[in-house]
Amino acid sequence: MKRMILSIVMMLTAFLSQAAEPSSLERAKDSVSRITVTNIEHQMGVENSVAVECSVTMKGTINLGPIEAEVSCTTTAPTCNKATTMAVNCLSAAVKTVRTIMM
Amino acid sequence: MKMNLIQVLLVVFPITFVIGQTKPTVYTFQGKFNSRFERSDNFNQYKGWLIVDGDKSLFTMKKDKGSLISDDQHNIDLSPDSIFTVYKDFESNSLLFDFSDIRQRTHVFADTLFPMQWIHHNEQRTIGGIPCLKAVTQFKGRGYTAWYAPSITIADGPWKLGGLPGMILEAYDDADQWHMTLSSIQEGAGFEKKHFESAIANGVEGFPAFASFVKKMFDRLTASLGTQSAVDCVDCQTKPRITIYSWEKID
Repeated sequence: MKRMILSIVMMLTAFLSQAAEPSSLERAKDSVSRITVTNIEHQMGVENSVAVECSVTMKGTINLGPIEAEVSCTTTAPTCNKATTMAVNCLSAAVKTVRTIMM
Repeated sequence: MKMNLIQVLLVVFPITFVIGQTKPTVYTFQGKFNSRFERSDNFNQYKGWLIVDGDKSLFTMKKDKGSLISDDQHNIDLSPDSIFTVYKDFESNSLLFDFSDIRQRTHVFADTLFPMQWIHHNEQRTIGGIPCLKAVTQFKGRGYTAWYAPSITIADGPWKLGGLPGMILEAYDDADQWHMTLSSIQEGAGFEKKHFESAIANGVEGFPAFASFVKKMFDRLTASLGTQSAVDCVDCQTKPRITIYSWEKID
């Protein structure tokens, strides 16, 4: 009888310990989601660190009636965000210079 | 008897003088102009006036009310109030035109009076009830069509166009970026000629000088814009570039 009770307790303990462990599927799912997150973080890191040529051109005009001048700022930078910001700044500076001259 | 003769002369002379003088005539035009030419659409409605006063004339055109203003953050509209302003003096065979620079200062330059070679067509139509004939020409890089009225024996027209055996009542370029059509003919007041007459007397530079002036003006502007660089990005650099687009070919 004692032996039987002991084996039931051992089986119950084994069952409970098994139930507490995450299943292999759950383990796989967890690792996939971690990998995905890691990948996104990694991709973001790549975009900011690896040299990728991005060229952005911004254009403005100075209209004098029968003459029009087109001011263009073309920027090449490792990221498109950087290139856009620089091109916008370049054009704004150019427009500001023209406005200063005309005053 | 002597007194009577003097009195008669005093009355007759002013009458003859007044009859001999032709009053200035104002030819009013309606039309459009695309300030971006063929590159994109920025059409505005314009009103044009050609004032013919004896052997001198003045053409100018102004934006109609309600036109779009193209000035914004990156587009600066420095076009003067009046554009395509041209003064013609048939007596001295002169043609002067205005140009307003970036500082909005007006400069006067000379050009050849009616150098264009017209090709006459057989087509006819009426403009404002006046029979007109068609002629075409090439002028400073653009093709133009003119409808002129042989019944108005003045070899003039809007802007720099003219030299046909009759007043041009409608004119437009091949791409229809500039178009002027007569809307009325009225007697009117003359115009101030001193500005142009003194320019002729002092000597006016010609079209090549105008082209050179425009190029130098934008070269100086390009030089003042300089190179932009980013503090946090060694590889990033941008240089503003200026491209000139002119209604009349200037190179």
